[in-house]
Amino acid sequence: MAENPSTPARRLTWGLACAGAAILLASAAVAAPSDADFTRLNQSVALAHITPRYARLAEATAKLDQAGQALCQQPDQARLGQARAAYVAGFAAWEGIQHVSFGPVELFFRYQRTAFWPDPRDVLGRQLGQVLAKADPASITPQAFAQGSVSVQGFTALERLLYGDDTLPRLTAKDDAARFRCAMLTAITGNLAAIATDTAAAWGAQGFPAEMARAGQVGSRYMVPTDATLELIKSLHAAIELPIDRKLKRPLGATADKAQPRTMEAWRSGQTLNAIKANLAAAEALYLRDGDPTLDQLLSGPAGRADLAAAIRKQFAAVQQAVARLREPLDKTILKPDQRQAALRVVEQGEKLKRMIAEDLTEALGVPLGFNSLDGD
Amino acid sequence: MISRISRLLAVTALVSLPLTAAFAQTAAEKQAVVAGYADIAAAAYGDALTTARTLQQAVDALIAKPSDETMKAARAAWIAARPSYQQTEVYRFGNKIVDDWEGKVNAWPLDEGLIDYVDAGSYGDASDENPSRTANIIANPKVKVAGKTVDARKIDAKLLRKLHEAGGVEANVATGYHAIEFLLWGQDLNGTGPGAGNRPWTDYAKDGCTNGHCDRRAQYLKAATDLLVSDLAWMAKQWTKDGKARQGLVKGKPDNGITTILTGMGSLSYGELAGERMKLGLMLHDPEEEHDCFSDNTHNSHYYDVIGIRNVYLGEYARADGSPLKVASLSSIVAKADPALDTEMKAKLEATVAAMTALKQRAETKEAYDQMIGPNNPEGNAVVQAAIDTLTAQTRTLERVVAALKLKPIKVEGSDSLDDPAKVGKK
Repeated sequence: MAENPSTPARRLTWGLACAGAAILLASAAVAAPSDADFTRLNQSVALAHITPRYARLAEATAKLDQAGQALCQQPDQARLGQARAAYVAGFAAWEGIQHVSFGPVELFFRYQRTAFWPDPRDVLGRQLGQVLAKADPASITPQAFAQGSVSVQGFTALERLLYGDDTLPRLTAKDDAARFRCAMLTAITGNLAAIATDTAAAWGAQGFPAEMARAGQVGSRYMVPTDATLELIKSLHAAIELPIDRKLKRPLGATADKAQPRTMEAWRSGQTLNAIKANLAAAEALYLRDGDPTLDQLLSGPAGRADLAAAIRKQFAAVQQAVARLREPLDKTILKPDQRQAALRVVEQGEKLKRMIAEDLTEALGVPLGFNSLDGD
Repeated sequence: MISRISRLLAVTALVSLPLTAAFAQTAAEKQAVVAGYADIAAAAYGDALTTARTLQQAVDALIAKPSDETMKAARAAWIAARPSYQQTEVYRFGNKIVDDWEGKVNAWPLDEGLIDYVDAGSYGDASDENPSRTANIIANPKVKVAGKTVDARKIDAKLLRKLHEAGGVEANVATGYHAIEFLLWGQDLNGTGPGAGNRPWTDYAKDGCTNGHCDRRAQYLKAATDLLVSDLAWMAKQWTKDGKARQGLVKGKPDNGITTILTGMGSLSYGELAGERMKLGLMLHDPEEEHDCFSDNTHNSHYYDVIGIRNVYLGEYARADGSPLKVASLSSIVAKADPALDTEMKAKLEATVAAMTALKQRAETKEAYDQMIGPNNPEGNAVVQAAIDTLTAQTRTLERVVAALKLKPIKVEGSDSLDDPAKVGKK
């Protein structure tokens, strides 16, 4: 038989060799990232994404506390304006880390004490009314906050004190009600600063980031490294689900006449849209920018899904583009047909992104999303 | 692109392998587990229906001859109807047919001022969130709900259906167990102190009617109870041999059926029971956040929820008449994949049942659930927190089960009418 490269025999051999290569390639590509990959991701994302965001919240709430105290020393329009500005800055810092509900913030109900929301039944309105009516100084001590209802001691309660009807006259009246109102206001700002300081300290490099890096080792709370990665993926999912589902879709209602703008977040302070943007920016940073490797890099590299990674990046851009068309104050603008359509577009794009995270990303990394705290209704 | 082709190759390699006997057996075993899951559903919804019919008779007796005895008998029948129903709650998440229907029979919490008189001082007026919360259907032949005036001269099934969740407000609960509970007990005005609702039987009296409109109140109670029975009859039918719920499951891929079972277990354990129904009330110390807040029967509702979760894992159900039902179990499938994980799962489920038993015993002997979640009650708080912790722990193990069985990611939602964005905005 002639040794000709084009003979059928040679072709067959070449074909076999090729198939062999493909199988090797296949096993490399479907292999999930290694434990070492997940461990590096867990620690680096914690340090790059979570630690600095809690540090910012601690700084912003410390300033808010100062502004609150200044306001109550001498309530006037200028100081009210400064307190409101400090509130907006502090709340923005919270919205940048609202998606993280695991770790130190889980302790002592810190998460819900910082901001009780959503609150479809207006428990806050009822309980805040009770506390103000009783005006008992013992109900607003740090001890009482630690053991009492979470609703009356965080950003959402403070918002009502700073933005309600007749805010300034209610603070300046020289009576017991005004004095208690101010005492409550500063009790809340002090409480926010204290919780944020404690949480930020617990996220210091030797704190929870180290715990996440230890995942899978003896004595760790996480049995395997991917258990810690799951916390990050759930946080990413929450950073999309909170703004898209809770802050937009539900208030929009199934039809225009069923819209419930009063169930939106932070409409009193006009921060509804800013909060949505802050959540989505945090989601994008968590996926794309924070960590070495980032989730995006893990997906493109070790998980062999550069295609999916590109699709997720593209979808993030689509969501941002849709959000750019929304206008504050959202609780009013969404009642107009064109803004309602624009908001529905955000929901549509956001849900697509959420599904990519919940179904495709988790499958590609071999980390099923499991159950989340928003499952109930 | 390369990765996609490689993945395809890998998958092809897998399926081109001859199906081994073991592989086929696993699929058949999973099918048997899914069918068994449907069998338990049929039995449990059947029991919920039977016990609701007993409630219906007791309500009829109360309306025919209002007295302290007939009122007490109706309350006892309501309490007796709850265990079977609560054991079906594990079917809610994952089975869209149940989730879509559930709001009619077990919606909670409710703004009860929609239905009847309330204590003005503690209840408050219309809120931003629900302008209809003081509509009081029983007192008003014309009610304004969601901006529309509704003719309420005749209180019947049609009217209640119309008013249920009116205006898209979930707290506008006009039907179901908790509406009936309110009509039998009235508001619990004891806050986080001892005592349940204390509606006098004379609220139904033909002579000496208290709080007005006793005839209309009786009409309401009758209509709501009859609706509950017909709704439960419908759902029980969906799980019988040719029922839609059963057929949808057993005809689908076995893995999807297994995913459905686990979705129900995990979603009820964590987001719904540990989160919405327990942790929220604990951190607000708010008696309004009690599931069965009029009757103080919350401990039983929670307890039978976790029994229901255990039922579908072990493939065992104790029927309302005491007879046992045993079916192919999810436990055996997990044991085959990872024996240690099955042992862990069973231990976690038992730990939750134990924590919930402690809570139930405390409610029966020491203080009611609404007292346990009160402020300045560290001991009561700790009992509730312990149950939350075991529910959370069992959810983590459920997630490991999902991973071990190599199931597709569990979809975390599907409970909203808004799930399809294309539908949003269309009238």
